Amino acid sequence: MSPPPPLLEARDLCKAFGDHAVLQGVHLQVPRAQITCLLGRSGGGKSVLLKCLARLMPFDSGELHFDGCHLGNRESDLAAFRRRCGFLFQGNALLDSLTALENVCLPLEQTTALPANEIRARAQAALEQLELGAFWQRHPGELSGGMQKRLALARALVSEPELLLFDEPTAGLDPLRRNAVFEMIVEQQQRRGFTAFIVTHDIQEALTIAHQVALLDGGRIVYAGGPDGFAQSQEPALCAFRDSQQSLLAATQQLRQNNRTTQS
Amino acid sequence: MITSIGAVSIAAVRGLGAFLGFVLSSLRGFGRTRRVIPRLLRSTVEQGTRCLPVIVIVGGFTGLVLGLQGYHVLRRFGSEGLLGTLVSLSLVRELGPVLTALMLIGQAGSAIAAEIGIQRNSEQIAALQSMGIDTHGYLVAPRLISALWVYPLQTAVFVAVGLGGGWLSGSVLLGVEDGVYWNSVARAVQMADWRECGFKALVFAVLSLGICCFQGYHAHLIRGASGSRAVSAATTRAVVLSCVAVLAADYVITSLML
Amino acid sequence: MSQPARLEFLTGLFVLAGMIAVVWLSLNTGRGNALSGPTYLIEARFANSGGINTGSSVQLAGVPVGRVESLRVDPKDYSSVATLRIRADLQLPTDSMASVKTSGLIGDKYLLISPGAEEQFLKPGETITMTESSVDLESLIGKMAFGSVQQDKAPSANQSSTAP
Repeated sequence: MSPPPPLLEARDLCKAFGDHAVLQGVHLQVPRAQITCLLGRSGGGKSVLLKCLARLMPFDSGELHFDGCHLGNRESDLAAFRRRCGFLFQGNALLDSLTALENVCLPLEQTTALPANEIRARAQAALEQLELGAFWQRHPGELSGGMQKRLALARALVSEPELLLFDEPTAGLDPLRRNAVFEMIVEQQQRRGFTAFIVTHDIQEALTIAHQVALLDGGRIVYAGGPDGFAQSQEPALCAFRDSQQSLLAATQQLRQNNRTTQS
Repeated sequence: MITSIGAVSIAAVRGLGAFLGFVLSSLRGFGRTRRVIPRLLRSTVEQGTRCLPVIVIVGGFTGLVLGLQGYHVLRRFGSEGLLGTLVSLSLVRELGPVLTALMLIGQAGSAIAAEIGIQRNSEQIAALQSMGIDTHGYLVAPRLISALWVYPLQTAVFVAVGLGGGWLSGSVLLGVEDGVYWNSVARAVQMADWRECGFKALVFAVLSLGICCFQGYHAHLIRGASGSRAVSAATTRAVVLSCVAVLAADYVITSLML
Repeated sequence: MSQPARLEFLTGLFVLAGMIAVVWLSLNTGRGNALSGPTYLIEARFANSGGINTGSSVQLAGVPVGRVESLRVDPKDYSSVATLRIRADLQLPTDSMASVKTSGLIGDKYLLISPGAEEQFLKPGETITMTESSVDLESLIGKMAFGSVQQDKAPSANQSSTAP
């Protein structure tokens, strides 16, 4: 029995900034209704790949296929893709002049023809689900980092996307909050059944929650498969990455929390 | 040398094309956004109500100094009776639209450029894009469109207050008869002058707001600066370029209309 | 006040200020030579109407009573024909005279109507035949400089009557 086609597929994606080739032919499949984690070293082009996948950044060559169809530059195709795809930015990218509720209402207000009270009800429900119900009147600047992250997730979820892309959702958070964010992602993913694609540094957590793990190294995907295979694989790039990450993780758990902001 | 001149002129022409495309796609994108009324009101307040005090103050002082200067010049020819003509025509044809535009650039345009620049910097624009919202239509169009009624109204306020200022210095302080002043105002300004005034206000509105939004929106493309530096560079560039554009356009319009 | 209500209030404030300015300006300017109430048209024929334009003021005894509606050249005798719009409540005798005058030394040109003594009044569309052309300042100054000006002849040198 052949597996169902992947929801999102990248074929031979290349992207260079000037002379610096960041992506050198990335092949990647994001399977439907699963969590895929993309690992890789900092500055290795993970965020660039993610933005190319979300069509927020033009790539030099290669193809994207969404739900079995080639995703070209036609405006109608792109609009349909954007309706079905959400994006969580590393810095949350909340509109700071709007309140929490207005932020969550925004995608529904602008892209659907729903009546105002229906939009409000849905937004309020999304806020409640992420335990932000009491803070709907606050502006993003008045919320803590973790709450902003949850607000960004609420905004991404409210339009019920099939595919949700996360750019380092745990950057800048302490280990406790980090686990809470991963927990939240897993919980929402199981409840709603969307496809999640997460770029992260947190190898341990990634291996715990992911159905599939991919490793980006030197502008290419050097590993894509189950988390168990990742832990046991003997490929040199993989070993180096795994060892360095794990020794770092073990030895400097405490330090790392402080370093993370500067590292990213 | 020659190649650099060539490069600069090519860049200038490309910038002009990019600017035109930016304005057009903003107007086109406006139709793709919903709930436009609150955003139009917000930008009317941003450019209108917030800037009203500065327009009144600058208009008043402009009128005062015109009355003062004009009186002393005209007295040499024994024609103080023409003071109203001098003040009103200067205000309606030139100073009203131009100074209003410059003040609005200083207060509203710079704020808009900085706000959009920061939104670019903190990926808010990318976020709007990822939500499938037309960023030109959402961020730029309401500001451009409300400028189309804000600029003429602000110009009217400026001219009205300026005429009052001219009356204050000319009649109240220097003793030109009230009736003489207001009569020469009434007789000097023709419909054609108002047409020129309104046309200038509209052109300045599109030029200055368009340039300010354009610079803020493209803050990430500024070479040699990033982050808050880029935002400040974009704001500076927005103010300088739109002031120059307004003055240049003023010259062109005046020479075509006279 | 709630956010939207505040927004509406502030917008209203600005629009109100703008509208007041526009209304006040429209009341106080642009009156120019505009005429209120009913009017009628008559014509005046000049040998030289230099300085008069469409919109120039028409005055009687120093009071504006109308304006120049249009200006054209009669192709038959090359004289200039001005159409004047005059207030309807003002009846002009048929022997009235129209002259081109200057307000002050460097001021605007205007048409001064000096009413005649006839019992008959000009009907709409009729023509004033007694006209005085504009004073040619340059030639006047020139004559003065060369001493050929004769004190009492100066006005009549510029006076011309053209028969219709």
